[in-house]
Order: sequence, then structure tokens, then C-alpha cells
Amino acid sequence: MRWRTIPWLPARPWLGAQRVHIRPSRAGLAFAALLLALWIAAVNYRLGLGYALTYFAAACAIADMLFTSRNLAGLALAATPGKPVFAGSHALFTLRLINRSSRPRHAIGLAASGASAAPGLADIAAHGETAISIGMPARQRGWLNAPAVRLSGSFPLGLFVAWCHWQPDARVLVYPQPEQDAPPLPWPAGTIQQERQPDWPDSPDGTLELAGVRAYQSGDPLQRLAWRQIARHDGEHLFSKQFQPGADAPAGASHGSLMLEHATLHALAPEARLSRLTAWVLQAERTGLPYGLRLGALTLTPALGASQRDACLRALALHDLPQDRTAP
Amino acid sequence: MKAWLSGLPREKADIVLLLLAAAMVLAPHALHLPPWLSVATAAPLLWRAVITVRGRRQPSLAVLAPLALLGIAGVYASYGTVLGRDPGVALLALLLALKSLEMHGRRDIFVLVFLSFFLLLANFFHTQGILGAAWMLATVLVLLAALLSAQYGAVQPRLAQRLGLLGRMLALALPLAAVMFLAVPRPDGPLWGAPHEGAQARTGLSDSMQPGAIASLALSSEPVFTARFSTPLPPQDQLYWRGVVLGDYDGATWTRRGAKGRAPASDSRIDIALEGPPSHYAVTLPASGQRRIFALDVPRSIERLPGNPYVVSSALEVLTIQPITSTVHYRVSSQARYRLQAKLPLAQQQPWLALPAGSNPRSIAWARALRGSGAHALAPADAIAAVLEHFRHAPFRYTLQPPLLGKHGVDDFLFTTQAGFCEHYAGSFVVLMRAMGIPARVVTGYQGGLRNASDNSLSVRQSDAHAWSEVWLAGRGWVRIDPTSAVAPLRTERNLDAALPAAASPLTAWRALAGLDGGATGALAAWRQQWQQAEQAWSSWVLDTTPQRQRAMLDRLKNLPATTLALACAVLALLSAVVGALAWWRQTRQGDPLDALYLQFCRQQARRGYSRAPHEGPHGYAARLAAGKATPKAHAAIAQFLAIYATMKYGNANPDEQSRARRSLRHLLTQCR
Repeated sequence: MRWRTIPWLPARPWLGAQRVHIRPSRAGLAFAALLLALWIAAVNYRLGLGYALTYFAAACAIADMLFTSRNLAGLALAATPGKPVFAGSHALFTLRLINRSSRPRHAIGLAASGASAAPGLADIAAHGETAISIGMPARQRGWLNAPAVRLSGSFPLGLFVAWCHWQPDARVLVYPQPEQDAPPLPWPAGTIQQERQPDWPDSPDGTLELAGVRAYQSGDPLQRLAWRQIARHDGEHLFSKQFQPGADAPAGASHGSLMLEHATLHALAPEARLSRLTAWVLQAERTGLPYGLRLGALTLTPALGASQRDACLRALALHDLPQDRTAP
Repeated sequence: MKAWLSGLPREKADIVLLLLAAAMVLAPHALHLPPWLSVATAAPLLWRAVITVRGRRQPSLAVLAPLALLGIAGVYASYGTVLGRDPGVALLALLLALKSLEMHGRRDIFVLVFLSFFLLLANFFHTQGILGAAWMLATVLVLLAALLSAQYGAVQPRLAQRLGLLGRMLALALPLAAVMFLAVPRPDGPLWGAPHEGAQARTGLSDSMQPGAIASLALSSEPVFTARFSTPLPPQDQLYWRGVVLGDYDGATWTRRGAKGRAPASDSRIDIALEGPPSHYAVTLPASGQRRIFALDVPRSIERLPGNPYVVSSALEVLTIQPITSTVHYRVSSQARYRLQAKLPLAQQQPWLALPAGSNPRSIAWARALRGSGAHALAPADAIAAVLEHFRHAPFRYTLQPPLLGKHGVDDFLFTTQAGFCEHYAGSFVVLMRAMGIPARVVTGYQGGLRNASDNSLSVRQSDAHAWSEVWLAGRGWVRIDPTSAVAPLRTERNLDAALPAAASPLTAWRALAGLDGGATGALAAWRQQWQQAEQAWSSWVLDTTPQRQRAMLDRLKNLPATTLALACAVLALLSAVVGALAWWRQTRQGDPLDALYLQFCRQQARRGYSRAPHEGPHGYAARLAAGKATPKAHAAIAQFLAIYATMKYGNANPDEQSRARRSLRHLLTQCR
């Protein structure tokens, strides 16, 4: 099913003349007043050439109307799918304006509803094309559809404005926002022996070494509380220790793998769970430990690499969304 | 210069173009604006040009506002008002010039262009000639080019390409404008009020005559009317177009009898006897703002003007009831041999004998002495001959720049300066006649006209303005006497230029050189005649577009024979079909050349038996073709073709790469078979 924000907006990426609307610009309205003034002067003073000038100016305006609409009509439009982004950043859509005729198009303005910055005027050479990027703030995970776009132009004389609306058929997958300062990966028992010896985390035979201390976050295991630091801060703030694989521990050498479970994070709000899982996926990918994801009915078997990462992030992005928003 | 212009950054080049347009708009106004204002409008444009080229800052509003106020004060000082047509045009010109200094964004460019359009029209208050129209067209083109240049986005093509686009727009606009010009109905008369200022600008005969009045008219070559004869043209010395009859004299100025208070006796029957063959002609008289229509001496019948009846005064002046505000046509028949008021009662002679007491005593004494008294008195005809003889033999000069005359103008003229124009001769002659007791009057009008042999017509210009006199002789009635012809016979036989002494003044010499007046002979005269014809056609086709004429033209169209109409329709239909086919052909050819090549390739492969499935993309198609039967060379070519096509179609190549790719695709196409 094809998605449209505004039902009447056609997604067919070809601008027929009937889809180009036209109206006088402000300068055009002023020009109409000027024509009236010229005509009245010609009538009152019986100026034959005054009539000639008036009608010539009017005819130029009519020609301008035609040329203004022709400047847009017949353009082919296409949207290039953008790269997935994380929520909270900007999604980039690249729109292609393709000119299949032998006359160049000039000064076409493009405005997108909700776009962060309006791009300037575009020119498209004969048989050429121009790509325009528009950035959209990605606020929510899931599919982000390209915004409805308004193409407009008042070239060549500026007396008329021609415009048309276009719903680019492109969308960007927005991953959940990774939780900032997420707790360390939930290592399954057996992989991390050093956890039980918090006082000597950097012992040479361990697989993890202490990376530092940070503020306690809900969900941090109690065993990791950094009591020394807590005591130094008069017990008002809690700190937990951070571990990372030891330099001597070969990546991926650990037996077994990590399974990120959605169900274990039941203490958090639904979106916060996804955020944390996202952060963990990124962390696990960095760590080089094969990881899998169990998300409701969906289970991704542990693996490593960009495709595994993208599959996990995609599953997290589309988790629990209505069917029509998850369809590929 | 060209290199310098093309080296200018785009914004600067745009502004220079706009300034050029503004200068072209203002240039013709320099002929009518006070000289200081012409300078005051040229200076800001020049200033702005310097600012633009040098890249300086524009002057602030604190500088411009006092300049604008100063300009308004200057206009007030020059015209005595800031309201009305001419001061308004002056203010607009000033505004346009100052606006060029206060121009920042695209909006200001529109303001400047729109102001320019209005000033262009204002120029037509003064002249609507062919040259003026050509200049207007050139100016509009530069204006539109400037407006167009400002509308481009980041990319602005070269001037030639911009002009090409403008040309395509004009190819559409010009026929449209022509149709509107001919077919859009025009309201009759001014929309409100009477444009008294419009009439004011026109020169012409007035109801009074003082020395110098006609001489100033004679400097204008503005056409007054044209007459097209259906009978042979009368000889030049019979072409007296009667205008105003002046009977009242106050010692300096001749005025129309009855102009002050008394109504002209228009209802009394005019005693007139006509003989000889009549001349028939049709007069086309453009709007003059006056009530006078002209006919040759003496009119027998004049066709009534629709909606504007006329009256004929007892002195045979023809006056319409309302001022003529649109071009009128009327048919006249005139007869050159006539007897006008052969019997005039003594009471009706009296007004034509009156002289102001105490003025011009020397002339009056001289006239009385010449006529004599009692039994020795000369007969009126002999007295007239004697005066004319005096004009002929005394050292009188005919000149457009007569010396100034004192309080007793006729005395000064006859005995001191002896140099003058027709009004001096006619006026003083009538004074002498009245002093001798012969009823006499001054008639002003036009004499002669430029003959146009090709259509048997005469065009009369302001420079043909003339004054002559009429005396009343018992039994013969009013007889026309032209004392000017006694001094300058060529004036009536040929025309003004022939009568004026060669190079009498720098002005006349310049006029002769510029061919402003009817040159005597040779190529210049022929060229002038051609020009005159063109101007006449111009004025009848372009300027003279009254509602009546428009209707007449449409009626003529209706009365065309059916076969002609059908033929015209067929030609039109054929033309539009050709244009449509051409457009369609261009559109089909205008598709992406890359796609056209691909289509050609697909057709070629289809002939080999490997037609592309509709759903197949170039890669899938390539895979299938690779498995097909072909020579290794063809295989390689096919694979290469599809690879290049896919790269160009879905990649991001610049136009140069694309055209190179198209060339290699065309080459590969020949090897794929």
C-alpha cells in the first residue's frame, strides 16, 4: 500500500500541465493596476500608441503566464531513499528534479512542510537534472515519510507564480534514539568472571577491565556500585563501575554470545526499553561480541556485523508499530 | 567595452541594464522637460552607474530625501504647481531617477520598471510619430530584458540567450497585442472630465491674431488634416483653406468678430452665387480640441458630422457645436469661382470698416493720401492695386523672424522695419483698406498643402498656416486679396520654404538641412514625400483608432465575400495544423536522448528475437542477453552498452559525461547486431 499524508496529493512523479496551478504574484497585481492606469490614460488622452503600449504590456503578461507555467510543467520528479537515522537527528531526503525537455528551467523554489531549512532556487539545464536535499528533524522512531513539497517559480517576468504540490514517494527509517550513558551490556553469567571481584577488575586473567565510574542509572546491577566513590561523595549520589573487555581478551573469543532481551527490561517505559536496547546493540557491535535480539515474538539469532546491526535496529525501530507503518 | 561588460558581476550587469532602460525612458522627455530637470534626472542615473561599477555604497535616505524635496520645489518653481499633467510627468521622471539610487531588492526593480512604463506612455502626450514608436519599442525591449535578467536564480545565461527567451515571449505577445489593439472596443471620449490639457498641447489657429502668432505655427510640421480629392487637385494658388475670419482690431490684435459678446449671425441667409466646376474631396481631421473644420474657398456643401452638427457663420466660417475630440471625416464640395454677398447693406459694411481711434496715424494718413478724395479719388480696385504695387516695390522682406514692433505696429511695419510674415502683410493691408473706406477683413487658415500624387491627396501641416485678406467690392462681393503674394509670390505658388530666402537664419538653414520642411527638389524631397506617406498611413492606421473606425473595419470584414472568407479560414486552419504538428514532432523528439537510444537498442534486440520484458531492468536484460546467441564481439558490445546505459540512467553524471556517453552508446549500437 502506498502511503500518502494528503490523500489528494499525487505521488506519480511527473508534473502534467494540469497539476501546475498559477496565480498573479504581488508584482503581477501591481502590474494589473499599472495596466489599468495606462489604459485610462490612453482613453482620456486618446493616445493610439498608448493603447498599443497597454495592449503590448498586457500581451507580455499573458505570455509570461504561459512561460511561468511551462517552467514547471513537464518536470519529472523523483526522490532518492535516504539513509536510516537515529531519532533526534535529521533525516536527509534527496529530491531529483529531472528536465526531459530541451528548454532549461530556471529559478524553481522548493519548500517542504516542516523542513528545517529551505533550499534556494534550483536551475535545471536542458536534459539535465538537479538534486535538492531537504533535512527533516526525525523525532520518532519508525518510518519517516518525505514531506509534501511545494515547487514554485515566477520565472521569467515575475508577474505570476506557478506552483504545484508533490508528495515524494520516499521514506527514511528512524531508529530509536540510543540511550545516553546507557548501562553496560548485560553479560550473561559465565562470560564475565571478573564481576565477582570488583576490587581487582584489571587482573590479567580477566576478560573485562574497569573503564571508569559513572552516575548510577536505574537497572545497573547492584554488584557494580562503586562504593568507594559513593562514600567520597557523602552518599548522596550513587555511582556504578563501568567495564569494558580487557585489551588482552580477544574480540569474539568469548564463548557463547550475548542475547539482548526486551522482556528483561520490564522496569522501564516501553520507549526507554527500545532506547536502551538500541544503545546496547551499538555497544555490542563495537565490542565485537556476537549479539542477538529477542523482541516479543521476534528473535534474531546472534551474529556480528553491519547487517546484523541494521536488522536489529530495524526491528527495534519498527517494534509494535501499526501494520501500515511497518510494511516495507 | 564588451569584455568589460561581460566581466561585470551579474548583479552589477543587471543594474547597468536597468539603468540603460531608465535612461532610454527619460531621453525623449528631455525634449519637453525644463533643462534643469533633464540634468537633475540624468545625474542620479549616472551616479548610480558609478556606484554600481565602483562597488560603492548607495547614498542613505538622509541624502535622498532632501534631494527629492528639492526636486519637488524645483518642479513647483518651473510649473507654478505640482498638480496636473506636465508637472506630474516631471515629478515621475524625478522619482524614477531618484528611485534608481534607492534600489535594493527585487521589489525595487519592479517599481522602477513599472514607473518606466508609465513614463513611456507619458511621452505620447507630445509625439506619436513613427520614430517615437520605434524608440518606445526599443525601450520596452530593454526594460523587459532588464526585468527578465533579474528573475533568474543562481544561474543566469548569457545576454544573447536571455534575449532569445525574450524573443520567444514576444513572438507570442506581439500577435496577441495586435489582435487586442484592433479588436478590443474603445470607449468614446474621456472617461471623466475633459482632458483640457491634451488640447492645450496642440497648436493651431486661434480666434485672434497678433504679430508672430502664425510665424510660430509655421515652425511646426505637425499635420493638421488631409484632404483626398476625387476630382483633380486645384492649382496650388487656389488652395485657401478658410479658417477664422477676423474683423475686430484694437491696434495690436485682430480678433474674430463677435468673439467678445455678440453671437455670430449664423442664422441669416448667406447671399452666395457659385459657378464653375466643383472640387469634391474628403477631409480627415484629427482631434484638435477646437470647434473648427476646414474647407476650400468656398464650400458649397459639407457633409454633417455624426453627433456634432456645425453652423456656418455669415463670413463662411464652419464651426462645430462641440470641440472635435476624435478624428472626424467629412466630404466637401467647393467651388473656386464665387460671388459672396454681392449686395451688402451699408449697415453690414460698417463693422468691416472700423479702426481704433488714434492708432497707426501715419499709415492711415498715408492711405488716405493715396486714395485721394472727391472726384480724384481712386476707384476701390485701383486703390487695392496701388497698395499691392507699393508692397511689391518698396523693399519689403518676407521673414519668419520679424523685428519687434512698437505701439503703432502697422506704422512701424510699413515705414520702418518692412520685414514680416503673412500676418503682418494681411493685417496692415486691411488697416490700409479700412483707412481708405473699403470694407476689409483678415482671414486666417491654411494655404497650400503637400501634394501626394499617388493617391491624389493633400496633407496640410501647421507650417501651411497663413493669413490673407478679403475686401468687399460693390457688385463683386468679398474678394480674396493675398498681399503676401505681392512680396513673396512663391509662398502661394509653391510653399513656405520656397518663399523664405535661402538660409535666412541658422534656424531655417538647419530645418532645410534636416528636411523638416518640404524640400524643394531632388532626392531629399522624394524621400520626404515617402516619409510623409508613411506618416500618414501610420496616423490613419495606428493613431486614428476611433470606435467608429473600429466598427467600420469589422463591418468591412463582415462584408467580405464568402469565398474569400472560406479561403482565409482554410489557410488559418492549415497554418495552425502545421504549427500543431511541428509542436508535437518537437515534443516527441524532446524526450531524453538516452532513453531514445535505449529504445532503439531494445528494438534492435527484439528483431534478433530477444525482446525486453516490460518488467525487465537493464541489468536483468543484460543477463538474459548474455546467455543468448551472438558473436563474442556483439556480446561485449551489448554488455558494454547496457553497463553504460545503467550508469548514465541511474548514476549521477554531469552533462559533459552524459554527452560523451551518448556518443559511445551510438557507436556501440552499430556493433550490437
